[in-house]
Amino acid sequence: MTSNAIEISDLVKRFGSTVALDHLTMTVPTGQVHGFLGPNGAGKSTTIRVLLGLLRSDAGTARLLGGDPWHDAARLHRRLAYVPGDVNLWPNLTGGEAIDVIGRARGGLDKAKRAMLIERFDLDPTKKGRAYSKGNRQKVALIAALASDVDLLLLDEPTSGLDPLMEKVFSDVIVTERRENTTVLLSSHILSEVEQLCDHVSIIREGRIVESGTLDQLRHLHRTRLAATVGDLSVLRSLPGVHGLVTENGRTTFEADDDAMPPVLAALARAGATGVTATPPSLEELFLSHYDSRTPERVMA
Amino acid sequence: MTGFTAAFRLAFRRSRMFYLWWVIALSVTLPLTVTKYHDLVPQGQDGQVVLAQLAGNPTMRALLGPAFDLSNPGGFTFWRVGTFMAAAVGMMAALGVIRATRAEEEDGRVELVRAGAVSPAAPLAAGVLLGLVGCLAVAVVSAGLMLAATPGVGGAVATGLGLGLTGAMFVGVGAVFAQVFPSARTARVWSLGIVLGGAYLLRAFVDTPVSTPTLDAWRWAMPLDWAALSRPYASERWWVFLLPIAVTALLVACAFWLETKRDLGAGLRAPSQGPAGGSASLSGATGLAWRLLRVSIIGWALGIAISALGMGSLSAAADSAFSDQPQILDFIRKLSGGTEGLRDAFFQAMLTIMATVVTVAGIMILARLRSEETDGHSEVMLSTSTTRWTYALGMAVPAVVLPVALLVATGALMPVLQAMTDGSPAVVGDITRAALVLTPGIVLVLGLGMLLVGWLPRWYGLVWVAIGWTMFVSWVLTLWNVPDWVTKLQPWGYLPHLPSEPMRWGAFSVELVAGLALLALGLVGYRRRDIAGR
Repeated sequence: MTSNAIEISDLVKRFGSTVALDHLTMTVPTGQVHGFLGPNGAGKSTTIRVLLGLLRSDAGTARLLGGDPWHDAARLHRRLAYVPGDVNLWPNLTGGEAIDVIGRARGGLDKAKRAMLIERFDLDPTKKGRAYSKGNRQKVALIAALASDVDLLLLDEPTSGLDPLMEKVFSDVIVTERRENTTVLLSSHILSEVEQLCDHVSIIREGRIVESGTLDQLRHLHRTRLAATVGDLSVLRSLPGVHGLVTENGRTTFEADDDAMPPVLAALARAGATGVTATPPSLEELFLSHYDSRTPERVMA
Repeated sequence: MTGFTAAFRLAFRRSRMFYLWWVIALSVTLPLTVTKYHDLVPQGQDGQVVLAQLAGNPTMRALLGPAFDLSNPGGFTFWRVGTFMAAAVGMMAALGVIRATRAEEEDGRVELVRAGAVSPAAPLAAGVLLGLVGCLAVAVVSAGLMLAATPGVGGAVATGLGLGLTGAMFVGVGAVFAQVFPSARTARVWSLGIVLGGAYLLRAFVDTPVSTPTLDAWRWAMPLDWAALSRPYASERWWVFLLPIAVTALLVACAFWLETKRDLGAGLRAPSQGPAGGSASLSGATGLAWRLLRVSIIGWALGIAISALGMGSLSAAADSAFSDQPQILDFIRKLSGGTEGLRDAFFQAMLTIMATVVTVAGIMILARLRSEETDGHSEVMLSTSTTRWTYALGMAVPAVVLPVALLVATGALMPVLQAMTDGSPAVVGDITRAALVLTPGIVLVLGLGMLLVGWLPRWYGLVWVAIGWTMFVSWVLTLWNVPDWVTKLQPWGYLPHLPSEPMRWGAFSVELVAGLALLALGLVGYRRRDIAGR
C-alpha cells in the first residue's frame, strides 16, 4: 500500500464549457485528516465525485488508496465511506433501513458501532425518510458512513444542518477515527471545526488548489498587521515587504510579510515607535482572502 | 386570494410546454379522423348496414363506448376516438395538476412560495386553474378544428365540451389525491392507475352488451361515457354537461377543503414509523430496487389480473355477436392488426392494447433509475461497492421482466372464462402463446429507454414517444391510406399476431435481439458516463 491515500495531479474536469477542475493537484497522506476548503462552487464536491468514480476526469490522474478511482471503483469503495453534501433519503425507507442498505452495499457494517452512533447522535431510526429534518437526514448519512470500518472517509460538508451539540459529537468521532489511522478528507466551511480536527488544509478556488499546508505554514505565508505611533516613517517606507502604509491621527498601520518581520521590528525600535501592536492573520482572514473572488490578487484585507 | 396571480404565473411558466404538447396531441386526433370518414365507410345502403353492425359489435363497444349516429362523419368520429380522447384529456389534467401542486410541494418549492405574502390555498388554486385552462384549450382547439373539418356547429361545440369537461373532472381528481398523499408518485398512481383506469374498465363492462334499459341506466353512472351521452352530432343533449361540471365543482371544493386539513408537505395521514433496521432482504441493488418498487409491482399485477379477467368475460359477447359481413371484418382488421376470426380478433385487439399498457409499467421503472440519480440516491449507492452494472440492472431487470410477465399473464388469464364455458382449454395456450410472441416489442421499447438512460439521460422522456406513436398509429393512422410499412412501424407492428397469423420466427428473433442489444448498449453507456448528484 502506498503512503498516500489520495494523489491527484493535474486533474481537469469540464462540464460543457465550464471548467470545474483546472489542473488540480493535491495529496493526502494515509492517516491524515485533511481539511478541504474553498468558496461555494470552487470544485470541492466535483473533486470528491471524481475520487468516487462518479465523474470521469477529462485529463490528469487521480489515485485513491493505491487504485484507479474510475476503473477500480467498486473494489476501492469497500474501503471508504462517503457523506454527500446534500443528503436526500428515500422518502419511504426508515432511517435505520437507509443506514443498513448503504452499509450492506459497502460490504457490511459494524452492528455495535451502528448502535453506538445512533445513541450518540440521538437519532430515531424508525422515522421515514420524508419525515426527517435536514439535520436528522445528515445524521443518517453520517451514521451510515461511520458505522463501517474503513480506511478513508470522504466527507462533503458533513456537519451542515447539525446543531452545535451534534457537531461536537461529530468532532469526537473523527478524533477517534484519527487515532485509528483513518484518512479523512473533510470539506467544510466551519473554521473552528477545521482548526480543531485537521492536520493539514488545502484551499481550492476556481478549480485549482491555491494553498496547501499545515495551518501554521499557511499563517506564515500571510502578512502580519502592525500598528504603531512612529515619528519618522521614512525608514519603514524603504523596507522591502512592507505594504499598505497609512497614517491616520498620528497612528500608522501597515502589513508586513512574514520574512520581513525582523527588519521591520528593528526599524520600529530604531525609530522609537510606541504603542506597537502586531496581529497575526486570523484563520478567518486567511480564508476570506481566498474566498473573496472579487479581488483575486488581494492577500488579506 | 392574496398572491394568486404570482402563483398562477409561476405555475404557467413551469408547465407551459407540458400543456402545449398535450393540447396539440389531444386536439388533432378527432379532426384527423373525421376527414377520413368517406374513405372508411361505404356509400349508400351497404354503408348503413355495416355501420349498424359495427355499432352493435361488442368488441367495438367495449373499446369505444356507445354509438349514436354513425351515418354522420362527426358522430362516427366521436364514437371512434372521442371517448378515448376524453379519457386522455383526463390523463393530461390529472398529471398537470399534480405536477403543479404536489410535485412542487414535495421538492420544497411550494414552501418558498408560501413563505411569501401568499394565501395558503394560492398554489393549489393556481394548479387547478391552470389545469382547467388546459382543458379549455383542448375544448376550444378541438371544437375549432372539427368545425373546420366537418359541418355541424352544435356537434363541434359538444365535442369540445365533452373532451374539456371530462378533463376538468380529472383536474378535480388529481387535486384531491394531491392533498391526500405526500408523494406525487402515489397521487399519480391513484388518479390515473386506479380512478381513470378503473373508470375506463368499468365503462367497457357497461358498454359491451347490446343496450338494455338496466344497462342504459348504469351507463349514466360512468363519467367517461358522459361525453358520448351528450350525443355530439346526433341531436346534442346539452344538459348532460351539467354532470361533469357538478362533479368537477364537488371534487375541486373537496380538494380545497382537504388542503386546509393538512400541513405543508404532509398528506392527510400522519407519517407512519417503520422498522429501526433493514430486513435481511433489504440488501444490495436488487434488494433496494424491490423495496422501492414492490408496491407498484403488486399494484400493476393486481390491476392487470383484474383487467385481463374482466376483458375475458367480454369475449363471450364477442363470439355470440359474430357477423360475416366482410366490411366489418375489414374494420376489425384495421383495429386489431389483421385478425379474421372475431373471437380471436377480440383477444388480439386486447393483447395489442395491453402490450402498450404494460410497457408503461416498464418505462416507469426505468424512469426510477433516472430519478434515483437526480434525487442523489444513485450517488450514495454507487459510492459503495455496488458496481454501476449491478446497480443499473437492479432497475433494468424488473423494468423488462415485469411488463413481459404482465403481458403473458394477460394472455393466460383473458381466455380462462372462455375455456371454462367451452370446456376447451386449448384457447388458453393459444392466447398465452400470442402474448409471448408480442413480448419483443416490450423489450425493444425498454431497450430504447435504457439507451436514453445510459447515453442521454436528460432526454429519457423521449421514450414516451414510442408509446404515443404506437397509439397514434393504431387509433388514427390505420384509418388513412398510408403505406403498410408506416402503420407497421411501431414496436408491435412487424411481430406475428397469433393465432390468426402464422408464427414468424425471423421477425420475433430479430426484434428480440435488437431490443436486448439496445439494453446492453444502454448499460454500457450507464457504466461510462458521469453520475449526476443532487
